[in-house]
Amino acid sequence: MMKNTDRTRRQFLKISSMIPVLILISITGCSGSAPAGYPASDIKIIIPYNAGGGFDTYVRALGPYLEKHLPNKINVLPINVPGAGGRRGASDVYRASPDGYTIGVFNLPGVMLPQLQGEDVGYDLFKVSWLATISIDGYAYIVKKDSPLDSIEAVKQMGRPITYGATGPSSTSYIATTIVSDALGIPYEVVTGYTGSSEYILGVIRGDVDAAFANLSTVRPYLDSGDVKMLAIIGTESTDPTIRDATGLGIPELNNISVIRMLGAPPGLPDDIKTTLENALLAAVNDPGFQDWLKQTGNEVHYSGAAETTRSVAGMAKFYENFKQKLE
Amino acid sequence: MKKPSHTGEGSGFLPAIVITLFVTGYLITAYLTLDDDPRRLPELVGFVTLVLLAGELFKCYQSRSSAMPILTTDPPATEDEAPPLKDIHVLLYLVGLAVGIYLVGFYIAVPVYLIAAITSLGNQPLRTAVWVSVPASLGIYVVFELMLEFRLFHGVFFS
Amino acid sequence: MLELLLQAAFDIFSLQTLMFLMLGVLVGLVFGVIPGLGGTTALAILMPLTFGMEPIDAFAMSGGIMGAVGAGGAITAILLNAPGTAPNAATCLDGYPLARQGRAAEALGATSAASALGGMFGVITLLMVLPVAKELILLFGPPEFFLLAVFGLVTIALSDSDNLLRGLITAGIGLMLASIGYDSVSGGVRFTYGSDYLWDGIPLVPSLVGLFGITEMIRLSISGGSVAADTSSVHLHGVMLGVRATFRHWKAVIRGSIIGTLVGAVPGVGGTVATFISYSLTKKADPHPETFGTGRIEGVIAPEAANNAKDGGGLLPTLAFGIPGSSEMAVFLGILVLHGMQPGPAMLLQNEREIYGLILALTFSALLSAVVSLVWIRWLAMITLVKGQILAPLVIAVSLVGTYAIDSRPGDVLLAAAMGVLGYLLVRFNYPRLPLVIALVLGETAERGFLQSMMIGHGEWGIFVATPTSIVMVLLILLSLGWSIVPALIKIFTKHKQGPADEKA
Repeated sequence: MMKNTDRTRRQFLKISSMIPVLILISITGCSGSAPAGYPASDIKIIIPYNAGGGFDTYVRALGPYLEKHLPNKINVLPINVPGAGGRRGASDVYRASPDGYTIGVFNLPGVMLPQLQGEDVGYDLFKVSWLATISIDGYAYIVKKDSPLDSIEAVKQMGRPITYGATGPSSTSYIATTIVSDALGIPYEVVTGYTGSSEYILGVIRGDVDAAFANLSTVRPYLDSGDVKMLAIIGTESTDPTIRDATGLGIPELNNISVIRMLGAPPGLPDDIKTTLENALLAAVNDPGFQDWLKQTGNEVHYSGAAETTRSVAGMAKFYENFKQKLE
Repeated sequence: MKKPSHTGEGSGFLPAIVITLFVTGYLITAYLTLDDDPRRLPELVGFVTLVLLAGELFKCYQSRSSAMPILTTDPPATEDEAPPLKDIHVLLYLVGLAVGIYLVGFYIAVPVYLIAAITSLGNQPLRTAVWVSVPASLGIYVVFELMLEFRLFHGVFFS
Repeated sequence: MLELLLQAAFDIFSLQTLMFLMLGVLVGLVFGVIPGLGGTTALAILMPLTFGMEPIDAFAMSGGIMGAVGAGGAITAILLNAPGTAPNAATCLDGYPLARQGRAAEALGATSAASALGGMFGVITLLMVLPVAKELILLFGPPEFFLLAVFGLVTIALSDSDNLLRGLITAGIGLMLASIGYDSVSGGVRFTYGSDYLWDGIPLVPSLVGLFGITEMIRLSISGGSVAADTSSVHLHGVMLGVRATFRHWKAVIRGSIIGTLVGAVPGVGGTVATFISYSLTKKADPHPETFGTGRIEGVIAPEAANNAKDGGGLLPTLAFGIPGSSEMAVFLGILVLHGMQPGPAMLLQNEREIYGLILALTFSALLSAVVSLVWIRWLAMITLVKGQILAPLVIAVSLVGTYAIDSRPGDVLLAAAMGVLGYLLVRFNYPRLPLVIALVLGETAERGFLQSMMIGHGEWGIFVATPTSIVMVLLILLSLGWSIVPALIKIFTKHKQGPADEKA
C-alpha cells in the first residue's frame, strides 16, 4: 500500500515540476513572430543591379551602418539579383517569406511602370511592406559644354526637333524625356539603345545627340569637370538661380519625375519587425560615418519613413497612370 | 591534333536540313510575335542564313553525286573507334545531369552522375568511381558552400 | 609622373599591401581555373571584404585578381579545352591540341610568359595614354561601335578558310541566338516565349563553358584515352621551352598586346573579342594559317598576351569616365566608389597616387601569377595523363557547379549543358564554333550600333564614314574581307577552269 502512494507521489511531483517549465516555454514561444531575439541571424538585402553598378555600392556602403544599429550582432548580406530592369530583384523580395530576413531595394518608377501596364511582373508594389525611401535622384537636362543652346528657350527656338539620348523606350530616362518635353512643347527625337546613362552622357559630349536627361548622381562628375552644362533640373528643387526647375519652367506638376530608391520587405511583415528595421535604417542613414561617405563620394540621401513611403508609392502610381499611353 | 578525317561530304545533308528547319522556325516566330522594328535584324539574319544554307545544301548535293551515294548520316567508321551509339549515351548522361541538378539539386545529381558516368559510360570499376565521386562531391561542398558561402542549388523539388 | 610612380611603389611594397596582392593573385588563379567563375565573380565576392581596408590594399588585391584570372583560366583552357574565363576560349584553339600532343607544359609556360608581358604592355600603354584618355574614348560612337563589331565578325567568321560557308552559317546562328531577349533600341522582347530567364538574352559565360569545355569533355568521353593522346610523349620539362618560345615569337606578343589594349579600352566589347581578334589576326599574318588549330605555340601566345593587356586597356574608360570596359571593370568601379572615389576626370587628379598603385599592382600581379603558376605547371600538366573516362564527368560536373555560381540561376546550368550538346553537334558535323561565339558576343553591339547610327544620322549611310575613326574601321573591314575572300574566289575560279575539262572527259 505504501509503495503505491510513493510511486504516485513521485509521478505527481515529476509532472508538476514540468509545469513551470512548460509555462516558461509557452511564454517565450508565444511572444509573437518577433521574439526578443530578432534579428537572430543574417539579413539578406537584395540589390536589383549588378555588382558595382547603379545603386549597388550605395547599399554596400550603408550595410555596415545598418548592422551597427540593429540589435544583436548579425550581418547584413547584400545579394545582387540583376536583370529585367530591376524586376527580377523586386519579385525575389516580394516572394520571400515575411520574416524580416529578406529585404530589398526597389527602383521606382522603373519597376512600377510594367505593373501599371498590366504586365505579369511577379510583385504588387501596393502590397510591399515599405520600410523607407533612401534616395531621390532628379534629372538634369544637359547639353555639351560648348553647345549653342544655353537655355530652354533656346531649345524651343532651334528650328528643328532636338535629339535626345536615352536607354530603352520603357526606361525612366525615356519617360522623363518624353513627358517633360511634351509638357514644354519642345519637338524632339529620341535615340534609344544606349546601354546606360554614362553612355548617353558621352553621346551628348561627343555630339551624337544634342541633349539628354540624366540622373543627377550620375552626371555630377561630368558637370564638375565641365564637359556638360545643365540647362534645367527636374525632380528636385534648384538651388542655383540660373538653372530652372520644374516650378520655374511652369510645369510644377512634373516635379515628381525622378528615380527613387526604396527599401521594402515582402507583404505581411509583422509590425514589430517593421519598426525595428525602420528605426535601424533611420539611425544608419544619419550615422556620421555614413554621412562622411556620402560627402566623400558626392552622393546624397533623401530619407522618408515607412508610412510616408507607402503614401508616395500610391501617389506615384496615380501620377504615372496619366501618362500610360506614352508608355505603350 | 589531326583534323577529323571526314570533311562532311555525304553526311552534310542532315545538319544542313536541321539548321534550315531551325532558321525557318526562327523566322516564323519573328513574324508572329514581333512588331516591325524589333523584327528587322532577325529578318535580315534569318534570310541571309537561309541563302547560305541553300548554298550549303547545293554543295552537299554536288559532292554527293560525285562520290558514292551515302544517304545515311552515320559517322564514318574511320573517325574514332568508338561504339556507334556512344555519343548519344554521353549526351543523354549530360542531359540527365543537367535536368537532375535542376530538379533535385547538386548534392544528389552530381554524385549520382559521377558514379554512373564513370562506371557504365567509362567502364571503370565501381571502386574507382566511388574514390573519385566522394572526394569530388565533398570538395565541391567545401569550396563552394563553406569557403565561398554560395548556397548551391537544391533543386526545384526541394526549394 | 615618375615621382608618383615611386611613391606608389613605396605604398605597394609595404608588407601588408604585398600580402593583399598575393592574396589577390591566389584567389584570381583559383577563380580563373574553375570554369564559370572568373574575375568578375572573384571581385564581386571580395568587394564587401574591402570595405574596411585601406584603398591601396583594396587596389592591390583587385589588381592581383585581375592579373591572375586570365593566367588561371589559361590552365584549364590548355589542359581541358574548358576556358576558365570567357577570354581564354581563344587559347583553347591551339592550347588544347598542344596538350593532346603532350606539350601542355610548354603551352603553359608560353602563356604565363605571354600573360606577364602582355599585362606589362597594357599597363605601360595605359600610363602613356591616360592623359589623353578622354579624347580617345570619345572617338567611339555608335557608328564606330558598329564598324568594330562588323570587323570582329568578319575577321572571325572568315577565319576558317576551309569552311567559309559553314563559318558564315554558324555566325548566322550566333546572331540569331544573340537576338533573343530584350532589345533596348526598339523596346521589343524577342524569342523569350515568356521566359524570365531569357529576358536578358543568352548569357555568355555559360555558353562558352558549354561550347568549349563541356563539348570537349563529351568528345573525350566518346573517344576514350586521356587528353594527351599519346601519354608517352608528355614532356613535363617543357615549361622553359614555352617561356623561351614566347620571347622568340615576340611579334605575336606585341600583336596580341596591342590588340588587347585597344579592344579592352572600348567599353562593352570585352576581353573575349580581344583574344579572338588577336588570335585571328596572328593566324592571318602567318605564312601557314591552316596549321593553326593543330598546336601552334603562337596560337596561345597571342590571345594570352591580349588577355592581360586588356586589363590595362579596360582601365582607361573605367578610370577616365566611370564607364566600365567590361563586367570585371564594373565591379572594380564599385570597389572604387565604395572607397569614396568617384571615377571620372576628377578622380584622375585627386587620387593619382592610388591609381598608380593600382597600375603597379596589375603589373606585379601579371608577373607573380606567371611565377606561381609556373611552379605548379608540372603537376598540373599531369592532368592530361588522367583517364578521360574519369576526368570528363568530373570536369563536366565541376563546370556546371561553377556555372551556377556565377548568378545563382539554375537556367545557366541547363544552358551550359545545352550548349555543350550544341557544340558537340557542331564539331561532329564539321561546323566551326568560333563564329557562333563571336556572333553571340558581338551581335547585340552590332545591331545597336547600326540602329543608333541610323537614328543619329537620320537614315543616311554617310554616318559610317563621317569620322576618321570610322573611315579607318571601314578600311580595316575591307582589308579583312579581301584577305579572306580573294584567295577563296581564286580557288573557285581555278577549279572552274579545270572543272568543265574534267566533266567533258
